[in-house]
Amino acid sequence: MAENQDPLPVREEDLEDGNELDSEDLLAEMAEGVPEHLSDVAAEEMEDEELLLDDSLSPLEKIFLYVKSDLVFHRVFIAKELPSLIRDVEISEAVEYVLPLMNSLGTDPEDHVREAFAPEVDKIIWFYYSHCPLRENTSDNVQGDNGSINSRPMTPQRPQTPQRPHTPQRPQTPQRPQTPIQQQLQQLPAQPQTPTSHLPYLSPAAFTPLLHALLLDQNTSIAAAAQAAVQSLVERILEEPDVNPKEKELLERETLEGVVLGIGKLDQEKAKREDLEWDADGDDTSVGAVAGGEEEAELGRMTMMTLISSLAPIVGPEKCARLFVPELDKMSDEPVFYVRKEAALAVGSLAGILPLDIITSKLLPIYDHFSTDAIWHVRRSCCLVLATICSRLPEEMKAERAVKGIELFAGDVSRSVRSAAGEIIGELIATFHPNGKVPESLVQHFLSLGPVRESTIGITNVTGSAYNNTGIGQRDPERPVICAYNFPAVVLTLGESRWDDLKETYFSLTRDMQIKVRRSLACSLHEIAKVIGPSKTERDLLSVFRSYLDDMDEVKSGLMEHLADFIECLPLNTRNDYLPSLNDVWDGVNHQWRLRDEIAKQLPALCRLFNSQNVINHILPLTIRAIKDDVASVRETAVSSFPTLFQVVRNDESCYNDMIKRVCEFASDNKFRGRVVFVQICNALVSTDYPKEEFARHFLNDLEKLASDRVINVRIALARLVGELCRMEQYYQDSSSRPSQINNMLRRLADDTDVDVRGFVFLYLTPEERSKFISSTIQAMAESAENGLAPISEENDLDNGGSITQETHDSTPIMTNVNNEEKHDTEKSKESRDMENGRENDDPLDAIMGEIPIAFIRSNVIEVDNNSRSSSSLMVSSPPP
Amino acid sequence: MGLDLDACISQLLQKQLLAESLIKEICEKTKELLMNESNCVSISAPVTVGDIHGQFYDLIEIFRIGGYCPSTNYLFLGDYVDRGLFSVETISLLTCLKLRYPHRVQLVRGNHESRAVTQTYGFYTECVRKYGSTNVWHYFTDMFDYLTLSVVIDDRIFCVHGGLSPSIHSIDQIKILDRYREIPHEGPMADLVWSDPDPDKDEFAISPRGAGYTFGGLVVKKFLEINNMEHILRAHQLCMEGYQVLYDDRLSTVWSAPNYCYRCGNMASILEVGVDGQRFFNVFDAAPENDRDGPSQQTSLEKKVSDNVYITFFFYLV
Repeated sequence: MAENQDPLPVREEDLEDGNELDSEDLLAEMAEGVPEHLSDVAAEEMEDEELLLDDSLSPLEKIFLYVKSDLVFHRVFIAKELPSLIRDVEISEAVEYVLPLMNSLGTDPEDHVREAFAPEVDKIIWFYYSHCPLRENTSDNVQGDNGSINSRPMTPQRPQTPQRPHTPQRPQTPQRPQTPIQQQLQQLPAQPQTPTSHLPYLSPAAFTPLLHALLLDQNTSIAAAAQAAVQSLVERILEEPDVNPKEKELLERETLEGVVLGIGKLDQEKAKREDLEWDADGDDTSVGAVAGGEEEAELGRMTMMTLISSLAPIVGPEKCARLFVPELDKMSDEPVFYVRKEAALAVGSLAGILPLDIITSKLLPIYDHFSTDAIWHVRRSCCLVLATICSRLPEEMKAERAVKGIELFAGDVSRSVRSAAGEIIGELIATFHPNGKVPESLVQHFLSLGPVRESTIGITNVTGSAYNNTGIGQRDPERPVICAYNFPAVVLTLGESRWDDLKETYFSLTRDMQIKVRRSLACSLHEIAKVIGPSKTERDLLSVFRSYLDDMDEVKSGLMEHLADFIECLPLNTRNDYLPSLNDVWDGVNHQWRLRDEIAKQLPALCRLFNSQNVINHILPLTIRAIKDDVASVRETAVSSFPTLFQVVRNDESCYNDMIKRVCEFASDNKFRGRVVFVQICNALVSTDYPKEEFARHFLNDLEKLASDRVINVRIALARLVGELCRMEQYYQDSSSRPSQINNMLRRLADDTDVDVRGFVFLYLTPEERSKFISSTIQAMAESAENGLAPISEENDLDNGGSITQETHDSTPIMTNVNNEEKHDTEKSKESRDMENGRENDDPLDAIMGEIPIAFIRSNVIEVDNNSRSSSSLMVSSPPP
Repeated sequence: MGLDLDACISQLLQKQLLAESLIKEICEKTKELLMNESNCVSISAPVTVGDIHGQFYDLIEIFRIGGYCPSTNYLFLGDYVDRGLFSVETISLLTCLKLRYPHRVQLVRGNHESRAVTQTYGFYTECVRKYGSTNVWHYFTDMFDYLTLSVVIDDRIFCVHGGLSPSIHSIDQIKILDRYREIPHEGPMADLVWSDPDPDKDEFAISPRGAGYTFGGLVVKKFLEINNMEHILRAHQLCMEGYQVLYDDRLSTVWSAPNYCYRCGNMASILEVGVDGQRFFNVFDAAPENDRDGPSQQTSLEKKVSDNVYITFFFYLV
């Protein structure tokens, strides 16, 4: 390549973490190549962070210090790690010391800490539930009870970060003067004195205040994470098999009534709590005392409704009817609109699981009430759950409600409500599937979402323009997206007979300017085709298919994912006509390996659609193109399609032989990758139970030749295959009846110069072969150690490698000598350990076999005793010239 | 029970961190392994990878394109850490692969495999953020001291992270360097990881980077003649097309971090070297996972819901 055509290299080193650099500035800046400072470590900055070197701390100490740390990232770190660290803390200590710390994390002033903590909180709570017996109302002894969430504020005197004098080099030994933080540690409640003989009891309500605080967090992502945590807690309580029934009942009651319903009654709770005397330490920032308690109670009711929506399917109809429906009942005179907005959604969620009589007697009245609410948010919620409600109603009632509902919402004064009506219309129509008759007004409403019907198709075709939906001025760009997205469900529900009424709208949509509209339609093209049948597919959809093959990659990939599904919907004769153009399809995605991979995934399904001759003439060449691809993933996908290809042509003898011939050509491919592919195809066949006799007849001879291939990677692939064959009962597990080719390959591969090759077949040698092999390997290891070489090195695999090996040896005398000694030590210590363990006497094989795969494959390096090497031995050669 | 490297590798392929104690053990064992390697290791027909810089998803993309170990031999030319968001995951995975398949995977030291540089450019901070202390950073940077400095592919291609040094004429001189140390400010070891080619010059010149040198066409020609090599292969410099070939095909730069720092918009490549020395640059673009788990997701807990393609609910009805 000519130099001046090459892109200029750009120095990579000086990219500041600047904020809004555009890439040109960036490149210019990088090109200047300001020297990177190689100065010594910014040692002072490190000191703070290095305080908490882990090795010396117990899990409890670690938790304590990290939670109390001044550094935010320490607290973020511990918030994430607490679920795993707490498992190593004794349960009595976890209750006594860690539980109050959780409250401190849950009310940390830094959002990042609470953001990290909220998603973990259910795991930690579950740890307590599953390790600690429960007892109700043990108010005095258990932390976290009685809303003490904020009763333990962050300790005002956090551990001070001390300034240690910094040593220029990191000392090798961890011996250090005691740091202030370690002194601080002693101020921890002295653990040894804590009696641990009895298990503490945990109040089921221990975490309710913490969960409430997180659920009410001002930061919505934290509140959302807390909701998810409550949901997963409820799931675990209801589904975990190992909880004893009594505790389960306690937990279930506390979580559903204390946490979920409790958050809707914060005003009442507060009043109750004020009567109690609780250890507030004079602290008045607790949840209940925050100014604006009214607002908090409203937020609490809203959260309760959101939780009811998400929990309804989990807790089932009985509990929903008993616990949740009464709460909804009270919502009809709820003064706050954003609570009603969530309540309306909860109506939908409950309607999804409750029996019809409760729906009609309890839910529909509230629903109707909300449907005419003065606030559009509430009406919009109603609109969004209309389809769910209708799906639960008997046919006539459903039709009536659907029509009435759409009329109401589509004619709403609020644009948001009207557009919600558009969003749900497809789903609503689909509730009539499969038997119901869809009211015509719903169909018309759906079609009105699409582009304006074209009365002037000829004109748009001439101009080739997709602007045909701009006729009535500004339109909501989301409407065609929604329409396209819902189209398959509507076509499926209305059936093939109504296609002609829908297709003009459909065609207009297929030419929409928005890529996401076309992508959505490309993804669902085969679904439409399935409904309307072969002849209409050919007449109406083939042209869409062809135009999308030349569209943007996003659109194309939608087609590729269902290529075979679509072709299957074409009439048989057209299907065959289309075969030769599969190659063009491949060419069309030459620049994008993921699309080629998508096509390669379709190969098995495609070849089932055609007769043997067509498979050989068209699918096989495409598959072969794919196994020669530049990208390994595409090659692998194509390789895995061969078992199906073989299966499809199996009954046609000449095609079958053709197939075998084409595959076996790869065994002597002049590119090593082709030979690897041959072995991999054999492997794929074996993994799908290809008949043993045929395998032996067609492939074993070619495979045998590869046992001495000059490229290691071919031999590795082969060794892996041979190992598999010898492992599988239906092939050659029985060593007495292995064909000669298998035995020859085993012997040769076991004797390979490369450890990775040997590793795959070693287990399948006969015991005699193994011991012979081991003694020769040990000898080779010893020899190579004496020579100061890595025992089995790559060089041996190359004809001309000897000279390099020699060079390495000669030119690094000092280094190799030292390495030599090291290695002798290693060998010795390993042998002596083996002898101590008495393994030496049982079977020399076990001594080595026990360490397979790791130790055997890397005989020289793994079993080194770390302590035997002193740091001084690292400096192994003379200083540089 | 010994170290289960296969389990570690599959965990890391899922982008899950290993426990600190595991990292310690792995680094110790890797040191033992690396200690026995020459300063110039000979290998055969690898897929060669340039700078990765903590772009974990793009490393996975490299395996998708080049193939996984041990089916494919890999030569990594350094700069595994810093800049990207997932240096810890990246170097953990590479270290485990090296330990699991020592003859299939070769790791060369880059200028970022150093205590000083990683403290400024991200790896240090990332270790502290992800493990709560500096231990893991110490384990890895101690291990970096043992990485080899150069590689020769099939007696033809000399590979190094940065480039040539005025004090090194023959490869034998590399072999006797004391490499088991932090990268020094100057001298041949610093030059090997810091130098850059300069297509407009013939000889060595002061480098604008403040470390190493720039070297010209004559230097390259002479080095190849003295050492009886055909080509020099190195990384260390961003190439917008993913690679660059200089000096009448005597030197190539391979760059493997697409859309570097998540904003440069560059392509990346891996160089596939055939058994007979053929070179093929397999060019690739940033992995799609970067959009879902990249810089824009770093500050927020919210996970983007992936694009809904078309309506799916009716499948439950059918």
